[in-house]
Amino acid sequence: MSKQTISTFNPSRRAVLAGLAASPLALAAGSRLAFAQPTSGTLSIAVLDWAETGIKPVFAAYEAARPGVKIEYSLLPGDYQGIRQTLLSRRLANKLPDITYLADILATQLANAEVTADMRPFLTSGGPIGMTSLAKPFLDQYLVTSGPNKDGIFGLPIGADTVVLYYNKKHFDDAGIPYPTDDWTFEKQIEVATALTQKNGNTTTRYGLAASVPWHATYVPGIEAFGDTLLDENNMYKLQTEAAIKVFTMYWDQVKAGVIASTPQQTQLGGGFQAFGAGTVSMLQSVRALTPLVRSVTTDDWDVALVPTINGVRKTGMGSIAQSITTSGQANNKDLCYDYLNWFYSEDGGMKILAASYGTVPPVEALYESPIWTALPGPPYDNRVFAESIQYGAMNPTSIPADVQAVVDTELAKAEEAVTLNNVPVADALKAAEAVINEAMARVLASGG
Amino acid sequence: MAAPPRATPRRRTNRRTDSPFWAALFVGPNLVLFTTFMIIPIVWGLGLSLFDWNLIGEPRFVGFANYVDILKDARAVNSVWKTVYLVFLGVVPTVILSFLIAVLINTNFPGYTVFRTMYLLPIVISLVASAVLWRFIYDPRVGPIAQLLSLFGVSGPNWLQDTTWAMPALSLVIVWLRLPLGVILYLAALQQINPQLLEAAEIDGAGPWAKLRHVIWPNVMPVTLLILVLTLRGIIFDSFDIAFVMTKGGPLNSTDILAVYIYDLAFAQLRLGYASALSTVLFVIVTILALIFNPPRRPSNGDPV
Repeated sequence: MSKQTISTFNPSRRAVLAGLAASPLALAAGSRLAFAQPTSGTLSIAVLDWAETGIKPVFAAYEAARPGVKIEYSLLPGDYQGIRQTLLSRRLANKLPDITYLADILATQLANAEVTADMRPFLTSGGPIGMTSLAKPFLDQYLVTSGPNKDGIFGLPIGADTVVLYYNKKHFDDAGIPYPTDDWTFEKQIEVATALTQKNGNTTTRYGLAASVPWHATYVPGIEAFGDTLLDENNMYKLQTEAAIKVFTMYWDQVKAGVIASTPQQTQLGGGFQAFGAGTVSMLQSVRALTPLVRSVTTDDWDVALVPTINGVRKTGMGSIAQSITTSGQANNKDLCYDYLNWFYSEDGGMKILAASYGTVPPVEALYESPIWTALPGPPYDNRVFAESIQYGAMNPTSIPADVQAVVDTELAKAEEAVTLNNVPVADALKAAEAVINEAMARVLASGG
Repeated sequence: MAAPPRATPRRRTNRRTDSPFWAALFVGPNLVLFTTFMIIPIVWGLGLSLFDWNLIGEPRFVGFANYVDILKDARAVNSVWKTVYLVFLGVVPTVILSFLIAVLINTNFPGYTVFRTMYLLPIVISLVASAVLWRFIYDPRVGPIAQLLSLFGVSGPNWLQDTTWAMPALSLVIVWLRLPLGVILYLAALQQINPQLLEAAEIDGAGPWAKLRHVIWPNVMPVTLLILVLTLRGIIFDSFDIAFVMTKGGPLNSTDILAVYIYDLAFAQLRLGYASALSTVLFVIVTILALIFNPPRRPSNGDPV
C-alpha cells in the first residue's frame, strides 16, 4: 500500500497492463473465472481525508490477502464540493483513480461527468455481492433518477449511517440528570440541554447541544416529522410551510438562547466532535462515521442514544458516503476493482476491519446485528441505537442537484445568521432563502442539471 | 534650504552584457513562468467569461450575458462594496503603520533588533495558519482579547460573528500580514535618503516632525505609491484565505468579499463562466486603481531604460 499525491499520480499503466493481461483469461474462461482472485496488479483508490486512518488497515489486509496486488491510494477533501472539484479535475486530466469515494449528493453529477461508472454490471456480475446484498435505503441514495444515466447505480454505500445523539455521561452525572432514554421528546432534550448549558455573563461557555440546523440531516427529519416534505412536486423547495417554519424556529430559538451551538459556533469551538471531546458541548447530534474521531478526542465517558421524537414522531437524518468504480477503473482495471469490492463487503474482509475501527455500521442488512461492530468495547456502549435508527431514517431528496445544494447550504446558513444575530423573523429569513434557492434550482434544471 | 545638486549617474555601457542575448537569457525563464501562470490563465479566464460552463458538459457561448448578470446580482454588488470596505480598512493603516514602524526602526532605538525580527514574523506564517491563530485570538470565550477585556469587566463582542465587527476584525489580520513588506520597503527607502538632507534640515532648525513631514515623507513618496499598489493588490487577491478560513464570508455576507464569492461561484456552484466574468471585472478594477495610484511615467533622460 502506498499513498500518492495527485502530482505524482500515475493513473494506471500497470493497472492497464494487468487488466489487459487478465482480459483474455476472463474472456476464455467465462465470467465466473473473471472472479478468480487476481494475483497481481495495482489498484488506485481515492479516499476521503478523514477516512484515511480507518481505511489504511483495510488496504493492508487486502494486500495481505492478495499477494502481488498493490493498492495506491490518494486523498480527497472531506467535503462534497472538494470531492467534486478534485474528481472533475482529475477527470479532465485523465488521472482518475480506479475506485473513488464520493458523497450521495454527487451521484448524478459525477455520473453525468463520466467520473463514476454504473455499478449495476458489478452487482449483476454473479459475484458474492449482488443487487440485494446492500441495504436498499442506502443503495438508493446512489440511484440516479433522471437524465442520461436514469436508473443507474453510481455508488456503493460504505456505511449505514444515521444521526444519533452522542452525550457526555459525566456532564449528566455531575448535574444529577438521568441519561437520555428512547422516549425522549425534543422538548425534553431542550429542557436537559438548558440545564447542562453553562454561561459566563452573556457568553455560553458550555453548550447543552450541538446541532447544525442548516444541515439537511437536521431539518429534513423535522419537516417530515411535522408531516410535510422539503420539495414540492416540481422539485422546488418549500420553506414557507408551517412545518418548515416550526422546525427551524424550534432549533433557532435555542441557538438564540445560547443552548444549541450553531455551525459557526461549533467552528469557533474547533468543530462539533472536538467540542464534544473537549467538554464544551454536552450533547452532539452526529453520525457513526465520526465515532473514531469522537473516541480519539473525548476523555470523559460517553454514550449514544436515539434522537428524540419531534411532534410525537421519530425521524432521523440518514445517509452514507460511498465508493464507486470510476470510468477509468471500469475500462482498465475492472477485474481487480470487482475483486476488491467483493472482498470489501464480505464479513471477513474489509467491512470487518472497517467496522472494528468504530467508523461504520455495515450497509449490509445481514450485518446489522453482527458482532463485528456491535461487540466492540465501549464507548459507545449502546450500539443497537445505530441499527435501530435506520428504520426512522429521513433522507435528503436525491433529486436535488449538487450545484443547488451548495446554494441551499449557503442560504440556510445566512438565514440562521439573520434570525440569530439580527432577530429577523424565521418566516422572513426562510422566504428570502427560498427565493434564492428556487432561482438556482430553476436555473440548474433549465440547463439540464 | 537648498537641496544639494544631485549628480546625474553616468550610464556605463557594456557591449557584451547589453546584447539582446543576455537580456533574453535573464528575462526568458521568468517570462515563460509568468506567461504560463499569469498571462495564459488571464486570457483563458477572459474567454471563459463569455461561456456558460460547469466543468461537466460542453461550454455554451453566451456572449456578454455573464457581465449583464453581474449588474442584476445583488450578492455581486454587495461583494464589490465589501471589497472596497476591506481595502479602505486595510490600505490606509498598512501604509501609515509601515511608515511609522520603519521610521522607528531606522532610529536604532534600544532593542530595535528584537523589534526588527518581530515585525517579520507574519511573513513566515502561512495565511491559513495565521487565520486559525487569529480565530483563536478572537474567540469570545477563551481568546486573549476576551480575557483581556474581562480583566476590566468588559464583555467584548463575538468579533467574527458580529456583522459590525467581523470586517474590522479581518482587516486587522490583513494589516498585520501586510505590514512586513511595507516596513521593508520603507526601511530601504529611508536608508536611501541622503543624510546631508537631514543634517541641513536640522541646521535650518527643523524639529523631528518637520523633518518627517518635509524631508522624509517626500523622499519616500515613490515607495508609498508602490506600497499602496502592492497592498491594494494583496488585499484584493490574497485576502481569500483569511476571509474563507475565519468567516467564510459571513455573518450575513458582512465579509463576503469578491474573492470569496468568486470561489463560491466557481467551485461550489460550478458556474465557471460567471465566476470568470466577475474575476475579469475584479481584474479591471484593480488595474484601474493601480494606474491611478501609480501611473506609468515616461523615463527621463537620466533614468536607465
